[in-house]
Amino acid sequence: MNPKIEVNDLNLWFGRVHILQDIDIIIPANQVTAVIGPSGSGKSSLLRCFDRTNELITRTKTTGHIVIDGRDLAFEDPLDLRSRVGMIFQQPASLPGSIYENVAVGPRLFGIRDRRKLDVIVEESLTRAALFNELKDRLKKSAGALSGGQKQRMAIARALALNPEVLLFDEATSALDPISTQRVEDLIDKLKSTTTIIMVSHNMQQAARVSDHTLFMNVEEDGAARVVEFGPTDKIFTNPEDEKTERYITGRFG
Amino acid sequence: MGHYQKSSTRSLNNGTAYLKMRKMSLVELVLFLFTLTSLVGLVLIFLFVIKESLPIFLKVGPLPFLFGSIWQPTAGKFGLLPLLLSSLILVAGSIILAGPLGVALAIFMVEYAPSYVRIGLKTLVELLAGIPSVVYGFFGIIVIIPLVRNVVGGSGFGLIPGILVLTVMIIPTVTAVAADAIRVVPKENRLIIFALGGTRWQSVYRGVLPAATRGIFTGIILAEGRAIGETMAVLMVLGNAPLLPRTLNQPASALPSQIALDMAYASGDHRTALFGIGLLLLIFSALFISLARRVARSAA
Repeated sequence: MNPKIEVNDLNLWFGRVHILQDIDIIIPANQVTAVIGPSGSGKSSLLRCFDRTNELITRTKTTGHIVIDGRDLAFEDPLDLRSRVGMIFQQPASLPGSIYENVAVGPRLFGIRDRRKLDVIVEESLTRAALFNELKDRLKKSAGALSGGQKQRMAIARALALNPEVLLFDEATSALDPISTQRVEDLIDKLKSTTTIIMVSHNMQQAARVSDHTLFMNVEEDGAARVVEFGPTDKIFTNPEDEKTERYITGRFG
Repeated sequence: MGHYQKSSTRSLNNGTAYLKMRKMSLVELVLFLFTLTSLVGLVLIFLFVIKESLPIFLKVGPLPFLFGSIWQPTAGKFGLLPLLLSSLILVAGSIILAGPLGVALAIFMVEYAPSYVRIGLKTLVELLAGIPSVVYGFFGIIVIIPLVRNVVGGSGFGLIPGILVLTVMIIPTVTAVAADAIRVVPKENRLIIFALGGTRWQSVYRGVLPAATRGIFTGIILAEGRAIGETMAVLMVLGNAPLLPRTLNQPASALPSQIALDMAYASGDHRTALFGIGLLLLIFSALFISLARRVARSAA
């Protein structure tokens, strides 16, 4: 198991509020890591540490290190980092314009103008997102007409267009119907051969189905979130070490 | 399934029938009367202006009246072309300046400014919108006209200060409507661009503006409506000579300001010609408003 991301002693504050405390984990490469825990347990905030988008929204302070492939994020150009770490949000959202434009927007941000190059990137990305055959006849049509599930897979294609090493899913299926959810899960399973995936999920069955490793987070009395337990998904769901983990996954708290 | 659907449609029908047949409550009656009053008022204004202006259209003919090139009421010449062209130049010129400026201000307010700057700017824009137009006229006479006189020469009065004063006056309209349109763009549009490694400007340019285009154009069209009807400030800086505009740096007169200038003493054909101008302005503003409506509605 190769480590992809090493998180050492990470602490995060929003203003004066302590959000994440002493996070120490190693995310393995080319596997799916699920982050579970009750609402407000810092799961999304942790996820946004990996592409440094927390700092866009609030005044943040971070201590400790996050290292991807030996490089400390703190010293990287955030824009370059975000191009290598894709994020899929909870709400299926499309930009105004065609499906093609929606997928091509990432490469365009980085100055790729050549139509033929973009054509290739769009087709490849949609194919990787298992969406090309479904949409190939209406690439120039408005993306706004797609269903929620299609929009979400288009969002995955949009992220894939930059060829990211890491994909972050922030409750990406919680607004989808069961069939669309199934499709996204299948896609996650397929994508882990080329990317490292971290997914926040409120759905225990989903975390158990899709992930290789599970990270259970919880908020302590003082309001800061910590890691309660981190390990292989099988073990977390069948034989957890911590009593809190067991109570959470069996639905008795959270 | 079918059963549930049927019963739900039935209850919906019952609901609307109930609404139709129910007696109006007192509040509803009062609201209805108020609405009716303003509606009747509007129709009466239109009818009145049409009735008062009808003689000039019959006497001179609609086309010579609209496109005749000489406005000399004392000599019995009622050609609106000088006024019409000046008004169109004023509207076009001010929108060319105020459109980009107003939209840029809106983008800065919503996307870039920290909250205390945003609140300050918002207050400023509201204040600008509330300043009486006579005061804008003062501003034109004291600040802009000397400036024009020094830079381009001549008396300083004319279309250039007219355009500049109108620009300042309609920026609040453009900015207020555009800022609303930008503000309601879902935050996901920005987040998508940020998460791909885009800069703040890229999030605006690629994520926000395409979604706000229609709202922004609505603002610009509404501002045009305000510009064409603006009277007092324009009257104070134009120089008020109803000549065909050949350059921007010459005294001119616009449609609404000509009404204000002449109304006090006009009689006979002159008076009906002024009502003709009024009708023209009414039609213009109706056009602008229906255009704004159409643009706003096509957003859906």
